[in-house]
Amino acid sequence: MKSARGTPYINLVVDTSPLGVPYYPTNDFGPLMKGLVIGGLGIFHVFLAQFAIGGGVLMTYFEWLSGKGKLPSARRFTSGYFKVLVLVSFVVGALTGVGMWFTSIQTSPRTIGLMVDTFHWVWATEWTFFSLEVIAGYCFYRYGDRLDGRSRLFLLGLYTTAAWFSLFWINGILSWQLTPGAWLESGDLWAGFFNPTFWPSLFFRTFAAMAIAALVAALVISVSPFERDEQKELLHRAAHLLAPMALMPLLGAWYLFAMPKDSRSWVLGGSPAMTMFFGLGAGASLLVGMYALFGLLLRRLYINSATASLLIVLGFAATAGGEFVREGARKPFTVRETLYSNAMTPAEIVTMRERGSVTHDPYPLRDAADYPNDQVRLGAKVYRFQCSVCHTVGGVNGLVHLAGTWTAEQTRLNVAKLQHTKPFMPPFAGTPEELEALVRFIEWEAASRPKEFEVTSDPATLAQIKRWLDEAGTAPGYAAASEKKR
Amino acid sequence: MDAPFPFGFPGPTAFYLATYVLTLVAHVVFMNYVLAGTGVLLFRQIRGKAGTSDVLADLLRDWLPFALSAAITAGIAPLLFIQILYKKAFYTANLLLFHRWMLILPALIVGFYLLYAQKTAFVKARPRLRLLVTTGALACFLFTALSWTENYLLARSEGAWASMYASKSMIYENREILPRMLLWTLGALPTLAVLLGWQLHRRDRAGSPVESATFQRVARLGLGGLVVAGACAAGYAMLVGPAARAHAVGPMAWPWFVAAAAGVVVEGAGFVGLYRAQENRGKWLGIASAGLLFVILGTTVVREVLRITAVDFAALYAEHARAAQVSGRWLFLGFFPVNAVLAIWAIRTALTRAERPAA
Ligand code: HEM
Repeated sequence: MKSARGTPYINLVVDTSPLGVPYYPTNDFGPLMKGLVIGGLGIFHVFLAQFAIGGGVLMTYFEWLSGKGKLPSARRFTSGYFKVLVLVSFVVGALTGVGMWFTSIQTSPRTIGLMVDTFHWVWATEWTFFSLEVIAGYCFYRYGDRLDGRSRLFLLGLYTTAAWFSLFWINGILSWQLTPGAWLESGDLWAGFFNPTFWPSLFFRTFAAMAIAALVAALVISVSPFERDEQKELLHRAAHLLAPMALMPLLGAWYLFAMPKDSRSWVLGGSPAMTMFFGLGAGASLLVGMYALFGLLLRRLYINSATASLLIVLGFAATAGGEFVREGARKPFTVRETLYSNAMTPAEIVTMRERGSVTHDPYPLRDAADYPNDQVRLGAKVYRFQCSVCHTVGGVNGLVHLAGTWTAEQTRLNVAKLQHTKPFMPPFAGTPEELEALVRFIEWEAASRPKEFEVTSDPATLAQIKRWLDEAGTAPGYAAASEKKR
Repeated sequence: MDAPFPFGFPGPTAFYLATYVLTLVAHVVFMNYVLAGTGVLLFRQIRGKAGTSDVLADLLRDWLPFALSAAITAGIAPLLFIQILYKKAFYTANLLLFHRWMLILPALIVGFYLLYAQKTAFVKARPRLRLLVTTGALACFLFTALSWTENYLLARSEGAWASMYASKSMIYENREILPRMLLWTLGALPTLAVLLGWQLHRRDRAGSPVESATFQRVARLGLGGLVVAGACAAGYAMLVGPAARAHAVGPMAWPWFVAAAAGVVVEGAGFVGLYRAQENRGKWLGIASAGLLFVILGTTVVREVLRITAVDFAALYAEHARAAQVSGRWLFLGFFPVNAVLAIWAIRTALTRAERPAA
């Protein structure tokens, strides 16, 4: 594992707890996995944010065409389209953005804390662009109809540039999570910002934004009271924004190759769920791209509102696929080689193996009296601290379903060697006693929570667990796998 | 911590505190317009007669959606800096309030659309529906304000965290919450009055004469707001206990407390002048605005001092120092003025180049 000497944030000391680990109250999302919650909101937000950016590009292009006298109906269209953009994107887009922040706090406060610590000035810079975007956008919204062509073009250009720069800054932070690159060695902000996936991701998102805007434009055009010929001309011009989609496969490949090898392997078959989402994203993009190329650009077909809506749904599906891949591919980390998905640093795992992971957790169990004994209570706390960010007990990705058919011995072995059981999981971070307690907790849940439940304390079992933990080591699973190959 | 705020702290801490307070002030200005503006709109709709035109209500209906957008945009910057200043406390309060906290977002989305709905001919033509829509929007904003208040108080009270978690409650019970909410809501009235005053003044000067009575109404709103908010502040001071009262006028806060008190006097004088003036209203609005700036800045600092003295603030210095080592500050300081100039340019273009709408 690489070290990260330069950065002040590798020692994530945020708390005075004896381990230096900050303990937060952990919420239970019921049968839903936390990742699904943030993923769901993320897709929605990204779609709207990309619409806002691409919409700017489209309107600036149309305004320019109008100024050149090449598209007389462009002005009328732009005014109507901008109202849709303000009503949908300015409201829901902006608030889901704040929502992403709040949801990130709910799912992993430590991750968002690290991101804020590392990039707060980049974020603050992004905020100045976002503010400019809102101001230029509102000026156009309120006064656009009464402005001359040059002023309209100026406002739209400003709006679009500011919106795109918002993407530019955020893209650096998000791509850093997967590929922090040389930041890991030097702690240098810019090395982290312009990381290996920065450029493919930026271009990909820019083209996706343009495509989404063109699809929404197709819908707006098809329901607006234009003459048929005007509609056709507008549609054809809007479809120009779909043309860069032709480069998406190339950019996708670039992105995949810039990813860490293990992450790429999850996407390309290693993890069925991620492969499925990758397929969804790629398939939906392909369908939109084919329609754009043959239908709109080459044959200049008219498009009705039903087809336009269907294309938007496909665009949304493509965004969904892409976002799930982006979120999932980081596993077992939320920030590569720095913070595991369950918000522990690699160094802390070593300490917790000796001193326990929840010994200093100040938050009691809710309904502690429902558990049959202290061992199961300890197991429940270990589950809450180490597993609950990605698993539920009996819902989505539920431990009871995953481990329900294993024998106790198998469960012990698989948890002790967690990162080898599935390399997208982090190493187990506790003592043998904690591991045994976790196993008992899973068994108790699988047995439908009986009132009485035996406490296990066989020294031989604990010694075996300790051996397995030692064999597993504390390096991530993919590192050990590649070592073995060598 | 014996020097006036933000001196007396290590450099990085003072820097983040000052940045936080300044950005929060911007949020407060727009948030006040939304909170008080929706309340005043509802009041005027209840009092108003069908078919009569109401300049203030029209103005509010027209500008509230933008003000909300501005309040949200301006809220993002302090949201960033509070995470550096009080990371663990802020996150913990968010987590404890859980769904309650997350509800802010749908509440604001609904509130936003209700404000837009106010502008539609459909709602305008139906007085009862109009009342319902405004009441809904106000409820959304009051809920948001309540949630921020609760979050602020909960984040300060580490002793309450574990038991609140165990209780599964998503409502933080603290006797300060409602009086504090009332203070925020009433305190928003003078800010609204100043902003409305400027809007009317601009309209007046742009050739759409505004009656004196309308300016007087605004001045009365501002003066009345100062009086009721002042009374509420006095009541709140009684409630918080002697220790907090002492900190509010202690070494760290007293210059700001004095600034806020002086601001109230200046602002009041501005409103009185506006009430009496037949011309030169800009001067009186300028005076009221200067007073308002002192009031908001002063009270925001006193609010912060009360938090600083309620938590183990010195324990956080190391974190602030670590945050300050991260580069990028120049990026922000470089782009901030550039984008501010561009924003002003955009506003100027819109205001000066737009043709006047036909009367
Ligand atoms: C109409 C919508 C809103 C209203 C009425 C509102 C109201 C308030 C109130 C009353 C406070 C002071 C709480 C106290 O001191 O007790 C506050 C603080 C704050 N608000 Fe807003 N707010 C709104 C929207 C937002 C949004 C959307 C954001 C973020 C993007 C935001 C960010 C903040 C921040 C960072 C603070 C300071 C919190 C602290 O210091 O602990 N607000 N807001």
